[in-house]
Amino acid sequence: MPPVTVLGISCFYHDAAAALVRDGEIVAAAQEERFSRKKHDPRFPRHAINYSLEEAFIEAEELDAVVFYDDPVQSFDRVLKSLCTVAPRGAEQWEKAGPSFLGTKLFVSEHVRRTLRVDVPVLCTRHHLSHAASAFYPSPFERAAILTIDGVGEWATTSLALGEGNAIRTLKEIRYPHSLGLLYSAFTSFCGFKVNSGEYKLMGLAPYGEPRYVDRILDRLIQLRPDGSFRLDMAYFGYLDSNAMTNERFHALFDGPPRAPESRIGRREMDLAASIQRVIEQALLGLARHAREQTGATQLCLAGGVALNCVANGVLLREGIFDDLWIQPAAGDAGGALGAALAASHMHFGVSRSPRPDGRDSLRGSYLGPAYSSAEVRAFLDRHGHSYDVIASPQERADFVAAALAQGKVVGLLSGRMEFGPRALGARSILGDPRNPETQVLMNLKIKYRESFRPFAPAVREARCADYFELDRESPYMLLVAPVRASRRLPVPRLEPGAKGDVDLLEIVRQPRSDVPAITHVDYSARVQTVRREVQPDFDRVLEAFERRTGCPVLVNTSFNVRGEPIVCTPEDAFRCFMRTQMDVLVLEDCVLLKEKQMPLEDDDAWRQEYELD
Amino acid sequence: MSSTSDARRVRRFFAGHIAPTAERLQARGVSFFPLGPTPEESWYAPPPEGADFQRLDPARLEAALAAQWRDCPELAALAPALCALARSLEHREEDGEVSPFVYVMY
Repeated sequence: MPPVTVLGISCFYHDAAAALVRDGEIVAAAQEERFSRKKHDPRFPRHAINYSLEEAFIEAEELDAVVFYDDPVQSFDRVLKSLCTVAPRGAEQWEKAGPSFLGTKLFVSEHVRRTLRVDVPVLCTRHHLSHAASAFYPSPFERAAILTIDGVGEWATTSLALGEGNAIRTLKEIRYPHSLGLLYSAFTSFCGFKVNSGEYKLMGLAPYGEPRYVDRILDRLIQLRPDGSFRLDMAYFGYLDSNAMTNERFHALFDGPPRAPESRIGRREMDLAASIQRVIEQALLGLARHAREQTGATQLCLAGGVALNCVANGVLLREGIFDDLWIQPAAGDAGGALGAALAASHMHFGVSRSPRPDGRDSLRGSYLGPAYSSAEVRAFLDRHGHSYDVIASPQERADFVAAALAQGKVVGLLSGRMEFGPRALGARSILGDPRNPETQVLMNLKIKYRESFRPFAPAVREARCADYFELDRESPYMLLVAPVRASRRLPVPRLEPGAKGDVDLLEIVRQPRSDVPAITHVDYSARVQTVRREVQPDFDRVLEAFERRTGCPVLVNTSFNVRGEPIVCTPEDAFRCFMRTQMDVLVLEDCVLLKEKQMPLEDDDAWRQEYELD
Repeated sequence: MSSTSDARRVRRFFAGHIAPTAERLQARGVSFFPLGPTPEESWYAPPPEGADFQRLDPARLEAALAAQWRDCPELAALAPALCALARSLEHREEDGEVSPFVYVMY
């Protein structure tokens, strides 16, 4: 039997991506933004498709199908019925988004045929089925409840499904405009962050605040039923009929106009962040309890953008509703490409699925993107005359990196296949010493050029995780937030508020809270990545060498990019980012570069204008 | 075709087709979704009907939309004009960024 090869694509919304699955096995997956260098690029993923075909060593003619992750007719049904509900309002939205919607989403198959130049069958599936498939099929579970929670896909905003063997059966859903994702985005926007990328900032801001708006949110904006279902009161939201997520009633409810982007973050924004976080957690727990009752499953898979709320995921895990949890790391729309390919492979073409016998998932650490050989790296460096040393021995290289980190240096690491999804997991990462109280501020302000309050995540050797964090299982994708062990915490004096009742966020950030202060958030939590030698050997070697040198098996791990820039993909991207920041050392496979030995980039003064702030 | 003329055509379509259709539907009391909490004990909806996978075929777009709206003659009547508009806009891939505020509906 020839293999069944399916290409999944997501695009024309945000975070376009392509993924290739052969006989149910994931061969490649990548976001278009990594190649186009345009953050959240929604355009047709021609670069990601080319990469996926190259990785599989196949021509487009060998594809059995291309599967789009969304049903355009159903999506258009929603758009038109929404317009007919709010008209004569909504004209401005329609005018802005209508041309690209009508001209692209409804003609996906034409885009595919024009790009691939073959007459391959082009299928579509449902948005939430794509998400659910992206979580269930790679999971280690034979049978699991599946919750998909996002902004919206066709009509669904939340769906509950059961995955069993080869099949996924959707059981029920909650429909637009009632959406937890859009509720969270409304607060993101109101607090002055960008919808679709600032949600992470709002989550990071939450521990600075008090949840004093929870009752107001539950009284006015969202009602939760005992069975986990919910409804919003659209009288407070703008997304049906205007170009804003919120309206005047919303603003009046929360004591004034939205925060202007990039302006000072005040007590209100911190408290709103804390409050909506609490509400989302409450809603998620209600949905999870219902999913458990309805399916009887003891394991849960999560997908959709809301599944990237790792604080809520941690709460869900600790609540113990399910014995275990598996979350798709590319939980947003990019992951829909992978899910569409997997769903078609198993449900349409009947490829059998068997979870791994060792109980691990089959996502390969999410290292599903392109890799660059040492020869390719050296060719690039030689061509441009960049100074570098080769440290061919992986162990010696790890020792070198660990020594630099222990001296307080910041290291950029490009190693192996690029990650699929929004998190850097050691293949395209910037690393720092978590013990240094200055690391967080330094890395935020001088390397990432982002807001000072934002926390950094720790990578920890899996075997040592429990020594640092109250987490009893692996977390390879940085999707679980867990408390730092009480024995490692330091007492922190309460800072007195200023005349306006506000506290300087930078002052709070500078207070050490544990013996690994750079990764300990203000509420003593951390977004943990556990690292295993079998999955990411180079990264684990660095952690091991750092532990040997310092006794600490933890490193700060943040994505290799600056604010507004997609995570680096190629050695060239990495070198450029290295030179534009105050990183000290760059590791490109077996080549090591020191900043002090590099010539400054020529004519690169205006580089910050390349990236729109997120 | 420039983006300005695209926008003009789309705006004209709203004024000439969508707004009058909406007015008729609203006058008839048609509601496609609730705008707030309602008295039911549960707000879950049944799963969507139809096949999990469908072949995408632009030539069948009008028929697909008409089938989608078979229970709503006002919308079904829009299908031919909508498809004509869509065809006139084909390939208008967005180069700039769509406003983050409008993504939710589109």
